[in-house]
Amino acid sequence: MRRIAAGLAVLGIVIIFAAAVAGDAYADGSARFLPPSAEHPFGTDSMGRDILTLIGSGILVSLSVAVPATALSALGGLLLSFGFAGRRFPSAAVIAVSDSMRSLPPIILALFLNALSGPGMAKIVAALSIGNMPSIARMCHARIAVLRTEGPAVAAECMGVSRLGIFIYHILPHLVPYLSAQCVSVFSASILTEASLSYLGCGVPPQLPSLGSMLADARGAVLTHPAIAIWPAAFLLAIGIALELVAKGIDEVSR
Amino acid sequence: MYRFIRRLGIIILTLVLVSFSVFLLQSLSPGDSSAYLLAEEAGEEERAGYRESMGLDDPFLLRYASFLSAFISGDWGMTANGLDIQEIVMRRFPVTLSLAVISITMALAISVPLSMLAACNKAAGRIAAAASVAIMSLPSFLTAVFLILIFSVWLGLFPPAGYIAPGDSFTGFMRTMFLPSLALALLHSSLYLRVFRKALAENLAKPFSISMLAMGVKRSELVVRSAFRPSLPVLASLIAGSFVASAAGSAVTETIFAIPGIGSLLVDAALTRDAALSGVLVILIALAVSAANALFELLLFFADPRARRG
Repeated sequence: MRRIAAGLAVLGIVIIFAAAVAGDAYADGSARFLPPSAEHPFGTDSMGRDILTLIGSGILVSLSVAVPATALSALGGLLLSFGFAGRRFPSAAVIAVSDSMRSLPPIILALFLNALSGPGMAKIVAALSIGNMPSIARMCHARIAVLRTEGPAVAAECMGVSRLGIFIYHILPHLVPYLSAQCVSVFSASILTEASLSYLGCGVPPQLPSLGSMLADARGAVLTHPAIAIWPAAFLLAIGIALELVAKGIDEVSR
Repeated sequence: MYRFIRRLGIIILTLVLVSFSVFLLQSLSPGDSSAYLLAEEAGEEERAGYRESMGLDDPFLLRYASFLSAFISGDWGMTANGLDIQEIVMRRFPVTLSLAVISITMALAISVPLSMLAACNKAAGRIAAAASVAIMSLPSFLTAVFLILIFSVWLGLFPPAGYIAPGDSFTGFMRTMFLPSLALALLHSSLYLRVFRKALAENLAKPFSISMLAMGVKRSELVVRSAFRPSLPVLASLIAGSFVASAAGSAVTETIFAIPGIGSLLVDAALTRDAALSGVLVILIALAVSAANALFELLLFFADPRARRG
């Protein structure tokens, strides 16, 4: 429990910090590569933009990709698994489809969508949701198949409760620990994938700031001006570790 | 027997599903080749004639059927620059394959001994756990850059980028592939470490282990001789997952280390908006991963008698 609280606290601090410093980081050609100062607490980058502002906006952009992607894949996975758990043929069909979708990692899908029509947030979110849906669907399906045969669900079915009612009252509460553990890992994978895609230049549109594209810009300058690379990396690490803590905490609590 | 048919079915299903989605998305993109290949002044009749001869006006499913049959027969068309896709892909595919295999082997070589050490020594266990959390939280390009920094810039042991084919020089091949494989291997190992340690811990808590400890067997000997083997099967499903992870990680890793593989090819295609090439690559990657999983399961079937019972 403490781990979940610690992880969420770190995440909360990062998010509040990001929201506080985010803004429009305008490029000031005369202020390039400045060291940290009162006006630019983290210094400026190769185009004269304030790094602090960039980091704040970048984190918010990452979140606005990762949150919808996770929500959509969780929703999709739940719908897929609930709809058919129990009936033999559609259930096997869902498993087969999700097994075949599992061989396509989200980043590959995102690169393909990029090739078709350029970078874009909607594309990344779509690729991430579709890419992560199969594992959630698989896990939920396995759990639901077991839960449906247990006491409360069977009793409710005998009493005539509708399938939806059984799902909401008897199955869903037990799914929550597994679902949240999966969601946390999908969330951190989404953040990392978005960072990698932006690093490659195939992520969010170039006008939007992103931790990944900051690191890509920093490639040339990292030995002379490490600040450009250190801060995005540090924040990515912090977010990742916080999510790991939450995941471990959920693991502990659910046992 | 049933499970092989099922696996084969999944591979075919993957082929159909992925190729259908790829084709669908490609057709939704505006424009068709008549715009590039005919001269600007070509009149409407010529355009109509061209489209008819190329079958561009056929119903969707018909076009999809010819797309699929062309794909299966190996006719993958040309890139936007006019290069033959099949030739490029066939040249690059073994590179990515060797990257995946070497990285999985390295990951096993790192994580298995480390887990056993962690099972014997609590302090080592905590350090290993902390290290794996840190590595998992960093995006793969960062670990790759750190590796380059440490091994190439500071220590000068390995080249920072580039690729030498094994035919040209085996030592050159090993040297250029070491860092990229290590980058991918670190990613895999953080998962392997966690799962293998858990399996070891479970086996160490079983009655046979407790009785051996009571009889005076040293903990380290117990780990190596008796707890190790029963814990191995969990690695099997992990390795299956690593095929997908290798495909995903190869995109970034190959780009950073300038390895001419499928991943970097896909990134290039994405950057140059080459729809045909990226479509072929996506279908191939999905097929390759499912085939690898199927082969691996076949291997397991023969290796582990417990797997046969289902």
